[in-house]
Amino acid sequence: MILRTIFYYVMYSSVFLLYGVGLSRLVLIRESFSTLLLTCIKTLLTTSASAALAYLIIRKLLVPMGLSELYPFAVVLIYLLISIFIEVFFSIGIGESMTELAIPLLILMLVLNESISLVQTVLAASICNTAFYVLVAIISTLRMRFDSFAPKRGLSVYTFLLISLAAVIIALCAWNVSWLTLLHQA
Amino acid sequence: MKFLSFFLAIEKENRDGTISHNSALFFFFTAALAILIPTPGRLAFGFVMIIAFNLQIIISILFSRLLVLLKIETLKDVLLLLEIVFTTILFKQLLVLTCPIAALTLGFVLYLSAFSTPLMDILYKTPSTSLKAEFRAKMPNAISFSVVALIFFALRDILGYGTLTYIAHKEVVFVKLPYANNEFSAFTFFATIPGAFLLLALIMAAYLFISEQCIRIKRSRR
Repeated sequence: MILRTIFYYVMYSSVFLLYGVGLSRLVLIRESFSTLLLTCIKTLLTTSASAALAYLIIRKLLVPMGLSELYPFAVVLIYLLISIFIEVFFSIGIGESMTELAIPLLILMLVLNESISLVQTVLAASICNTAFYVLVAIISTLRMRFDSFAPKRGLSVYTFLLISLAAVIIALCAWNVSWLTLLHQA
Repeated sequence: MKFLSFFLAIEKENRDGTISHNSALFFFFTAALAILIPTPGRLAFGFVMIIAFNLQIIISILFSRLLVLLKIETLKDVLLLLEIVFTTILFKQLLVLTCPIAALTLGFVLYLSAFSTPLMDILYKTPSTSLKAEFRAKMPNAISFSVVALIFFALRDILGYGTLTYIAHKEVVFVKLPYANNEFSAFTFFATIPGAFLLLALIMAAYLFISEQCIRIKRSRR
């Protein structure tokens, strides 16, 4: 189950490449390695804890009361609460702006929407979070290369990055069997 | 005028005669990926997303003015975040009533749009003076983005699927275009997610080319 969840959220149904969560941040991110590492640790802790707590509150409180459609409210409040708690007690404050908050919040909403157990929720949230920082490494490498070699006039670095993202998705989803149907029709 | 200048100022001519890219537009395009990429490549769904996007901006501007009037601006970030969630839930419920198929298809994507960077940027970065000034500062960018997004969705619908779709009462209507047949064509690629990335890259490249040519023509006339 663990391996299936990992491969599902990293490759087949990548939260970032297929759902588009945090794509803009992925393309525009320019922080140093140490800042990224610290942010990764903090969001990993916060999302895992929030996922567990939100899952329990939704299952035990919102679903029995027939208010499951209000789960985004619960997610936002729980995430903010745990984020402040971690900042105060563990002194891992990154000073997140509202635009940066969007990624962990959307990851939480997605995994709470799709998961069927507490373990799967926490696991999926952690994997999605880690996958983002792995993708950041890939995209940063590509951007550094384009920054050095792209012509000063003509196509911009962002254009190259978009084409690269398309190539990354094709590489990850090439084994998806639905392509075979299209090829068969051709 | 601001609408036009937003589109035409992709490349700007510096005082020394050199041409540099207007990074604001590239930023806006890349920031808009969260809305443009995961939404199904149909004009009908794109239209719903654009309505949600603009509605969100209008309600958030009004809500932030209310916070100013009530003098609770210190809580603006959190309250605005909750307001965005509330508006999205409300919009989704209205969509369930008016067009359930769109609500079912879009589902989670509606929240993506709500938390997307353009929206957050539009709402959080410009300081508020008066309600009129706030609308004047924020709406042109939102309308410009809406037009580009609709063109993008229409292109994906026409090229990728060979159809034109629109929202009707409790249904999505698919109009099959005369040239389209049921067979697989190379343009079907644009209906996929990598195809959406490529189409966006092509649109950006085309804009660059056109604006560069415009500047060259302007220069040669001098």
